[in-house]
Amino acid sequence: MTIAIGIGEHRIGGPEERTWVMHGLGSCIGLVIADPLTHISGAAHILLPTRVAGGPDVPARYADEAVPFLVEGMARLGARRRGLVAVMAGGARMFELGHLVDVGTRNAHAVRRALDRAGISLVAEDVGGRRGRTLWWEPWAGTAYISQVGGERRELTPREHRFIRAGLRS
Amino acid sequence: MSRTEPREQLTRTIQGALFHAAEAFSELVEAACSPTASKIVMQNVSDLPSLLGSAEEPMTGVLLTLRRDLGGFLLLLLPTGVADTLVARLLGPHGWDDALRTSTLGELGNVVGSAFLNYLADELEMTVLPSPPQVVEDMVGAVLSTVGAYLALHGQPEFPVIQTTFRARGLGFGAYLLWLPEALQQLGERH
Repeated sequence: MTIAIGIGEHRIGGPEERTWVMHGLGSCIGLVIADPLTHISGAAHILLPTRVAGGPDVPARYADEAVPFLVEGMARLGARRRGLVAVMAGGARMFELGHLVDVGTRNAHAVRRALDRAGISLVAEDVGGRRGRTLWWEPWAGTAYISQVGGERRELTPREHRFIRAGLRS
Repeated sequence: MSRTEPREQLTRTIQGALFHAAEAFSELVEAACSPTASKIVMQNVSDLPSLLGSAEEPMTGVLLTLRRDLGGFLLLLLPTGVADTLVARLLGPHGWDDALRTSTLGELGNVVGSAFLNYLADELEMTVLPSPPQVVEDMVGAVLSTVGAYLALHGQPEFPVIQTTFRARGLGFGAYLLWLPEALQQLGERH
């Protein structure tokens, strides 16, 4: 069983959580922030770089609001505010919409800027291109995986940033 | 005049446009098709990826971007196996490559989409400028959420989705046509 995080939704929790999954990321960004010390994680399924006039008050929906929102929520559960790491996936340019902005690229830039402002290291990303993705996060292991149509699921988190190194499980 | 009349008239116009699109689809695939399970719903962008079932289902989408009086998107979605069946029906079982397949699917979306839009434009006395068709093959959730992101740029928490399924009699497949206008309210006011 997995816990699905839909567009604009978020999840914050510790290593006791089941696998989180963000299905069908197109121009959206799946973002996970983790504290390697306390093993507390937060994730957001981001739709847009920033809130537009009249947009709903859902912080996880916007790149610039989602990062501080997750950090606050994680801190309330006991995570540190420093030493956090992040992974992200998505931000594809699914269509060539000449007269319209490239939302996927803007989303990825906005997340990078927000992480930078918060002092969070982006340790892995799989963004851009023209293909959709699904992002999984194992909160107990600190490991992210991604998949695309017709492809195998593969690890995104570098080995040195997992909570659990090969063969160990707390 | 009752307040619901413009809305009912608009619904009839949309149904007429869907039948025109179904006729165009029927002529192309040489099988009688009719629009079924048609509905007009207000949709939150969060629910869009799973509108047709699993967000991870691979589908072939043909997208037309709409400009001028009638902004928005028109999307013909075909489960990947159905897309292959249709291409084989149109081009024959062998002798085509990926480029010809993509071009054929684009033309299919163009013909069906144009039939739908021409009817709407005539009835509503509007000018619609559709883009050339773009063919994308991917998870349906990724396709729909990206369209949703562009609509969300207008700041609306919800937007109208006009959805139908073309069922081809005797062929055992369905194709989805989705129209996602930027706004429906002002269309109703034009009647």
